[in-house]
Amino acid sequence: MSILTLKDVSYTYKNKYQKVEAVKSVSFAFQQGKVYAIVGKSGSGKTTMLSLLAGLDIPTAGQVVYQDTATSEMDRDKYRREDVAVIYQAYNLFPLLTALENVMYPLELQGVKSKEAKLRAAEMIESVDLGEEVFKRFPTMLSGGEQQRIAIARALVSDPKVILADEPTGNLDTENGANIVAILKNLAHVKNRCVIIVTHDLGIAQQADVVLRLGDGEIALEA
Amino acid sequence: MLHTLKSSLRSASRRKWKSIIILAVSMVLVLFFTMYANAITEHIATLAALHKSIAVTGQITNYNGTVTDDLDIQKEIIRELEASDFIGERFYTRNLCLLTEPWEEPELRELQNRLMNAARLVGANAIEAIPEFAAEDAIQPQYWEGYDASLFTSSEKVCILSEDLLQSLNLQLGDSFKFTIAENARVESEDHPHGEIALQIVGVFSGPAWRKAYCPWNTITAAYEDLGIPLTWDSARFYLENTLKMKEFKALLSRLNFLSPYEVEQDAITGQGRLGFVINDRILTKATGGVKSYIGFMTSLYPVIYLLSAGIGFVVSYLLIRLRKPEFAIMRSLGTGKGMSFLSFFWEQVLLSLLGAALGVLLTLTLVKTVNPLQAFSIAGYLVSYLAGAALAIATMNRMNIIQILTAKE
Repeated sequence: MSILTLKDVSYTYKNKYQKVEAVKSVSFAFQQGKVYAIVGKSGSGKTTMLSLLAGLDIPTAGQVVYQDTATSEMDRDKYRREDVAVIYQAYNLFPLLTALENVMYPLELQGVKSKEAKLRAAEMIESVDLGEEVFKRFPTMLSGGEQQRIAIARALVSDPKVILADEPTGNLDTENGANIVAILKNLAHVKNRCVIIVTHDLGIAQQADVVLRLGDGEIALEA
Repeated sequence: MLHTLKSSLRSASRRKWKSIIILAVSMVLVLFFTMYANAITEHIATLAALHKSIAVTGQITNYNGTVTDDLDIQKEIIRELEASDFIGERFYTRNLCLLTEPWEEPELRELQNRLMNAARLVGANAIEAIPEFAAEDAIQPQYWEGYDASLFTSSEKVCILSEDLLQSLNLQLGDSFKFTIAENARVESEDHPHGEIALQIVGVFSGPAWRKAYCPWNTITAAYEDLGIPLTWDSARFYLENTLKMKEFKALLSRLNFLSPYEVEQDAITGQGRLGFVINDRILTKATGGVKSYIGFMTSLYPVIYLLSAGIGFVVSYLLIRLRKPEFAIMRSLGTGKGMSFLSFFWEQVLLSLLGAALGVLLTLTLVKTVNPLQAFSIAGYLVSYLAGAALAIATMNRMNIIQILTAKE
């Protein structure tokens, strides 16, 4: 059953010199329980696609539909708080919050009381194989792999159905990269989440259930 | 809201030197504003002291300021002036025609001539009320033993006479004489109000006021009442109070239908019949001119320095917040609304600038040891303008491309 659907989605913007069609009439349905990889060269429209799927922007034509509602017609702040989470290559943790506080942030945003948020955040950090010793560390005191795990814990703590990952292993060594991919696959196959990985790493793409190639703003399904 | 406040507080406390920059800027600006306000306040105090120490007098005149007595000032005008907050010490005179011979029912024309040429009995409430004796270098009257200038505040039936009158009546100091008195007004009939008054001569004076007798204010007022004629004033001079509020006093004068003689040409016909009021404030104006200019100049600069304060708020906040674009982008990506994200950064600025302001106030108290309303007003103005600038800087964050910041590769 599809949870996130692209319906004839186009995205056009004007830069200083010309009109750019970053995404051209793309249609596709993403389902729960699967890992998708969107691959493509630089400038192929991957970042725009990520922005549209994450509800950070809306298409200039067509619709991105999440569970029967177009993102252009919904409260997109709430959508990002509750339904979708993004994991970035650069981790994007709050530098002045500890690991625990970073994971608590989405819960506090939803109005969960501090005590309960702390408990749930701690559980989530432990579920990505990190121990209590990292709770009070600031991001700069964590390794790249640990930071990415904290970023994943933060993404999952509000129990979203769709997880977007932008080059999630880009800054990690092979071993840590493999661990992160394993976590993402587990999320899709065991916890029935829809995981969409935007990457140019063909090694990761090969581990996905479905590979989509973006080129010149158009999408093509790969076998 | 509580969440944003809490995270702002946490962020402000962990940002260390960057927070200290805002604290320091706020503290220095508060110090500047309080010193600035203090300079104005000190000048205002100087102005008030000058107004208190320099005497300003006022005088009722005719319409063009050329005549200061024989004015026929109505009681209502005097009462309204006295009821205001602007009248201090006051000097009044009123007069009657003074005849040395009995009335003897003269015919109308002769009566008109006699009263036109008659001497004057002038009642005054103080020696200073009489222009001939008010000047510092004026020749003062000679008093009979036991009498002095204080006689004008008594109710005795006494008078001081001009030397010519004393000699023509062949009288000496201490003698009493029964005078004929009559209303000093246009004679319309032979039934003109008149009467008699016995006065003891207790003083004599020589020129320039010939054919005049001066008596206490209460004595002439009693004579007016005996004759049954309405109380009017010939002249009225005042020491003015509350001269800082001269505009209000001038408004009162205007309401009482006074003309300003400086605005009426000497030979003008318009305004005749109306009274004028001359305010002698030349010394005060000269003494306070510089102080007033300074206060006016400093006060007029307030909008400019508030604008500068807003500019500083904008620049400081923009420079510091620019480094925090990723934080803002993460917040937005996690579902924090635009308003909440703005508030989260804004509260931080509010907390730090308030704390800096408090430190600035403490520093000011240590340095100048005074607190006044203008300082409080200036600090409040600073906070509003500084935070307005900071708010503008934070608002520019909402225009950034979130996904570009978040997907920037390290």
